[in-house]
Amino acid sequence: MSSSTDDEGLMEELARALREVTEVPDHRREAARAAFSWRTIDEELLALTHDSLELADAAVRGNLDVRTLGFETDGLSLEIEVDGDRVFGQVLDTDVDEIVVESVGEGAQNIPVDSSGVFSVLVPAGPVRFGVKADGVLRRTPWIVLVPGSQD
Amino acid sequence: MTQLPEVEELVEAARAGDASAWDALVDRYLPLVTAVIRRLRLSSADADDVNQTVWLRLVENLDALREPRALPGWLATTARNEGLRVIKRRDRDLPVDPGGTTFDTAENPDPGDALVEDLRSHALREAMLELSEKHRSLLVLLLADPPLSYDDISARLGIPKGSIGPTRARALAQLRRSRALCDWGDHTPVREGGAFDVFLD
Repeated sequence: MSSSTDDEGLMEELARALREVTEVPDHRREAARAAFSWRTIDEELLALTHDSLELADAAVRGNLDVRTLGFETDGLSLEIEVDGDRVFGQVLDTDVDEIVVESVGEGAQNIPVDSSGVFSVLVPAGPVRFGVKADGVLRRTPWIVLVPGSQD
Repeated sequence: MTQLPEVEELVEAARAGDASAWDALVDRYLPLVTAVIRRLRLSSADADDVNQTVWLRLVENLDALREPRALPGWLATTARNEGLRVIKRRDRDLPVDPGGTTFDTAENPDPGDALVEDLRSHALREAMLELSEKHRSLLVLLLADPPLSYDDISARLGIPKGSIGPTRARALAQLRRSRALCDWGDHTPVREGGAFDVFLD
């Protein structure tokens, strides 16, 4: 391959690379910038341990309308279930002071939790994360997109 | 040469709470994230949610980030994985294709190739930033859409028409020698199990 042919190929790659810059919608840039305002420092995350969507085989996944996710950190675990337009959750292994549900669209809301650690909330729009406050410490899940189930 | 802030410096400043450093990170990587999400053909609302999630994840992982140079791979993989989760969730009511055809096999024989292509584009944009002003301007004008004539380009840059070709060749040679492309050549990402090496603890 001559070097001028190489140059043509490289120019085509560059054209594409530059085009991708102009294809970024402004509102995506604004949303990406705004994400910084959600920064919290040095917090222990409740790590995702399972997500029913990750199970490869639909047959094993069972009821496809219900998505279950589990999160865990030292001595504390959170299970949530997305069923229709509601999220049902339960904190295991510890006494919970408070559940905080945060979403970009709706801000932070405190959710009452019963004595067995059970709570329920409408699926907020957009990315969401759950915070479990126990022993005065708030531990949050990563941000996730839940996607409500269908309403039939 | 343009003095480009290193990714490490931007990450460090963002960790310290500097919003303008964060904005600079966004500007640098958003075209990559946008390109990866675009391939998944999500609804625009879902694409917006995935985009926002990717950046929120980066914010929450800023302190855990050990190898800022792995950032493009991490962002591209996160965008793709989150997008695929949304697709799975949306597709649950669709009839099951007995052939097991999924989005990936339908769209791309190897989705890893698509990610590598998007990461290569990103490396080229970084390489462009390393060029001298003169070389970069020439390439940008040569790639203008709609195209400019050599007369136009000559007038805009104040260089003779006859030197456009040779200058272009030198610009591309400089581009090939750039750190971004040399790094790329040395560490072309290899996909294993659908994800690039993650740089977190």
